Amino acid sequence: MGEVRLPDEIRPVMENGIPAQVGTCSADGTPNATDISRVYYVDSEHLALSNQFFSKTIRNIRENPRACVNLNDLEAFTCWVVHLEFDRSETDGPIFDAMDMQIEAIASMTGMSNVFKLKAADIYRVTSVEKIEYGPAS
Amino acid sequence: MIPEEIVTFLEGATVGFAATRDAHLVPHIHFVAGWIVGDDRKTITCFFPPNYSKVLMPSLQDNGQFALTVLGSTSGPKASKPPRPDVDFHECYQFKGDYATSRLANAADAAVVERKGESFRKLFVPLFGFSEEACAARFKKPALAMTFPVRDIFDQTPGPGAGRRVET
Repeated sequence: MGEVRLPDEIRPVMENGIPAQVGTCSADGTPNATDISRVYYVDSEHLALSNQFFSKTIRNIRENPRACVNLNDLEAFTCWVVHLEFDRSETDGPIFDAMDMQIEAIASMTGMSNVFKLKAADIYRVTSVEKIEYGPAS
Repeated sequence: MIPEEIVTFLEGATVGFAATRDAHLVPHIHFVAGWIVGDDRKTITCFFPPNYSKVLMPSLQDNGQFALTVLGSTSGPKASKPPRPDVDFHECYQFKGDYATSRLANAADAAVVERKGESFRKLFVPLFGFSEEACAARFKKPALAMTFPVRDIFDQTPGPGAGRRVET
């Protein structure tokens, strides 16, 4: 199977400030849905999700490395569905530092500095990406 | 049985999405335009838009596993008194269960979705600067109504208590 690459047009959607939704599944087949303040672009084949306190998501990923992320671009009437597979977890380095800084900024804006705390930057490989349009003509 | 205060929260909450998984344990996320609690407070019926994911029903028919996450503000157990809209939005619960039934959405379901869309517009147009058109497109007349009995409820409000099971 060839490498899946993220299209350039998805990058601004990751940075539009709209929370994304993350789906995972435990080894026994129970799905889990959570939201996350943002998804981080690593390179054209990888995304990073912040490991803060969404512990069920992390437990599921350790059992079953597959995840699904929905990225929302409301003004374009578009949703991006990205399927992922867990690659590695980083607790320092440039990706972690950049995510830590941005999470702190979000936490400050929402008055939750004492709640949001980055534990690790979890890096995922993109396995598929699909653009879903739901505008008036769809 | 879903606690009364959670029912109140669900009535006022504005954002919903769900997870299913397929036969290969691959998870899928679905936008949920609206929801309503059954009279017996044991079930939730979810409403999906016309372009709902093509993997939704095959996943449900394969294994039935369903997880609904709802975010809202102000009216749930964690509501601040007086309300603090900037932080109160972060109240969130996840409802897990097995698919029971589905049918075509009807006019009453559409009215529920229309009310959710109106709440969404009031909350997010000023917060994110969304256009009215963008909000309206997200809350089209629903196509599918799906009901599941709630097996577990989890508090998913951000913070150290996230993941706690709610007594039912």
